[in-house]
Amino acid sequence: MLRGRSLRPKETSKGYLPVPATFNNFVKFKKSKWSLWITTLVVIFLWFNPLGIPMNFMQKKYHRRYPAPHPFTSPNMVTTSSKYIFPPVEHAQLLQELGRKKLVEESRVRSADHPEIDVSIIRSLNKYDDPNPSVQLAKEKEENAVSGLSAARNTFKNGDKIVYKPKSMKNYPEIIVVTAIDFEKYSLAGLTSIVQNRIDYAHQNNYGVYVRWYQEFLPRINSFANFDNEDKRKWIRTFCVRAAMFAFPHAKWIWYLDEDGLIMDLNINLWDYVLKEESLSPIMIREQPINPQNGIIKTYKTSKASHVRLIVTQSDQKVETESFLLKNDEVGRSILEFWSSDLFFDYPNFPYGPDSALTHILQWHPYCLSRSAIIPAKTIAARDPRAVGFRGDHLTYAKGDFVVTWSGCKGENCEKLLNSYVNPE
Amino acid sequence: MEEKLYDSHFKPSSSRYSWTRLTDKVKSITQRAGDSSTYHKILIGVATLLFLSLFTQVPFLPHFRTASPKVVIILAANEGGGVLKWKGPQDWSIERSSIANKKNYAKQHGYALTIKDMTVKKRYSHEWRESWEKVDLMKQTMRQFPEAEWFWWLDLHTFIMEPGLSLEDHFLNDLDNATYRTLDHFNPLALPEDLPYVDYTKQIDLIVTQDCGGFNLGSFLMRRSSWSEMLLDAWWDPALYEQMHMEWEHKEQDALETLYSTSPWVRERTAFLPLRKINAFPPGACSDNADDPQYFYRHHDFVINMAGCEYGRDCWGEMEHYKSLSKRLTRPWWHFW
Repeated sequence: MLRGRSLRPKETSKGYLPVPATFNNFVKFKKSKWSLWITTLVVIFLWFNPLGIPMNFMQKKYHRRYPAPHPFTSPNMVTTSSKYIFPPVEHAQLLQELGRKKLVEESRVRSADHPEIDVSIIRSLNKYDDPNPSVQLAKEKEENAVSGLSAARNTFKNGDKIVYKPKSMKNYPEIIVVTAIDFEKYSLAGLTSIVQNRIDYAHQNNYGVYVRWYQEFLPRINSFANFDNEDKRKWIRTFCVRAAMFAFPHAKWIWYLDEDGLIMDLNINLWDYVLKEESLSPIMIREQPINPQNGIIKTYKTSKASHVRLIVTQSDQKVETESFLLKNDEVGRSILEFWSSDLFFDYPNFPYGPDSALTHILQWHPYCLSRSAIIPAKTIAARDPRAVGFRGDHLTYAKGDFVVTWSGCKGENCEKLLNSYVNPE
Repeated sequence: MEEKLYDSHFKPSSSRYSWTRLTDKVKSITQRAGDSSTYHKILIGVATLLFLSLFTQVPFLPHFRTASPKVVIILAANEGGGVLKWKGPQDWSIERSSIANKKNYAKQHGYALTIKDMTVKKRYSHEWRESWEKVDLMKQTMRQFPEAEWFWWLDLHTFIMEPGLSLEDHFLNDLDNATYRTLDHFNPLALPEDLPYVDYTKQIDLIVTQDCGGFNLGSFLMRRSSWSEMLLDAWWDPALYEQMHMEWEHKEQDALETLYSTSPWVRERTAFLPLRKINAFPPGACSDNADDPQYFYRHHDFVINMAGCEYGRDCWGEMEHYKSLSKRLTRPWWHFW
């Protein structure tokens, strides 16, 4: 050992072991101009992306905050996990007792355009709500315990706030059956059978139900006189559909069926029957005048079923809206909101309210026309001839049809017609 | 036998072989022309030109772009077409300057430019419907450029003051932060601030500005979508127009304001930019608010809109002034002469 050490050469940096084969690579790398390479890379990087990264750090990344969407009469919402949204029908008697004037607030204000004129406006009682929903809830609980009348009134005003929020999205209803019901038109038994009919049908097919009182839309219509006008009142159909779209934001289709109608065959699946492309394409009536009497503008020969957002029927007089289908997407929503704009509502040259407005829209707006379809009345709106006296077999209800409607009925007759279908002799 | 002498590893690979053959060929060509260094010179020259062509905006060189333009600038020219008023030499000069300005800008950033003729047409003459020509031209342009996404409308009396700034860098890449969508900060028309059902998280499809008198459509952008198709269809409606045409003094502008103030579907996809961002005013416009700096051009604002210069102001003078100002402001630092 000692001998070995003394033999070792002194003060030399070179090892006496052979250098590993890969060692020269390292030396080559050291000798190469790697610093030059890195400088070049940095220069290229900065050339293409001048101060990109440091600027990103310095930039303030904030997103503006905007108010969340809210229902028509209130900034707050009430969520429910039931897909059947309908008012307690048993309140009909109490609501009638209270009367319209106590369910909404009418006030007189100066007109914005003409300060010399007073105009009356109708507002929902929701405007007196406490801004904090939990405080309001406690307050209402207290009131509801005291009297049935205030319970009825509180439930009535809260109808607008109800929104469907399921625990999981798995069973979200694809189609929502929407109906507006009037406690001044039908008796409690009549109202019950109308709502029950919708729920039975929805339950059978895994759809949702959205039912509201007609009177809840008084703040939207903004006048008692308009509410009693048969044609102005029809606008509530569109308002109710808009509210349903808000309550079921992820549903695919909305079916509005007026209270003057019943679903007669609960086993017919609306999706397979009308909505799916293969079913809709053959029944769309093409090259049909929008105004059946003397229309120049006709539905398109080539419109595609997959593009359709709005499906309506026609009587021999005009486009009818007591039963219509609307797709719950961006375009469907814009068509509906455009249709229910205030300027159409106020327009004096629309004798049939929303029916005339829709006829007008389809005739003047090619984009809307190309996204709409007219289908035979027998499919979703077979009419009872006793209501208005329609002519033609292609319009009237026969046993086995999907839906019957008696829209346009007057007074006592409505309830009688309803009973003739609920309890057939 | 000779084949066997080499191990397969030492055989030149075929690809490498073809490459050397190619370079050899080039070399032989250049060598025929001169010495071997010419080859290197040509190579460097070609590489430099290619780099300048692909990655820069140097003039006098073709710039190749593979993608079709994403932005189309629509310039409304020839307003009136000399029918209502004789078109003088100054009008022609304004038109030339304005068109050249947009042409340069579009070329520099790879946008498309389409110049739309706004002559008086009989189909718009009834009840002052001329303004709705704008809607029709917008639809027409969307048909003509099926690949483009954004459509930027510019009136004739506008001038892009900062041609080096692309729309993407200016605001399109950071739309949510650059725009505002509610009226709580700036609401010159006192439109209702709150509307039921409006969901402000929707994508932005229409970008407008507000001046002292409300919406200003002298410079606005629209994105192609089913929403904009619907809006362009709904914008002009005879039943609405019949009721409102006495009040809608600014025609299509007022119609849009009405739609915005009443329809959730319109409101949710409309966003505002501050006026000076794409539509700054010269001192003569909005003269009632002359002390409010938010409307008026300051150096290095993007676009100036000489709105209303045809009503008693000197359009040509303003155009020439801002043209020379832009030239002065955008002169590069080494351009000291």
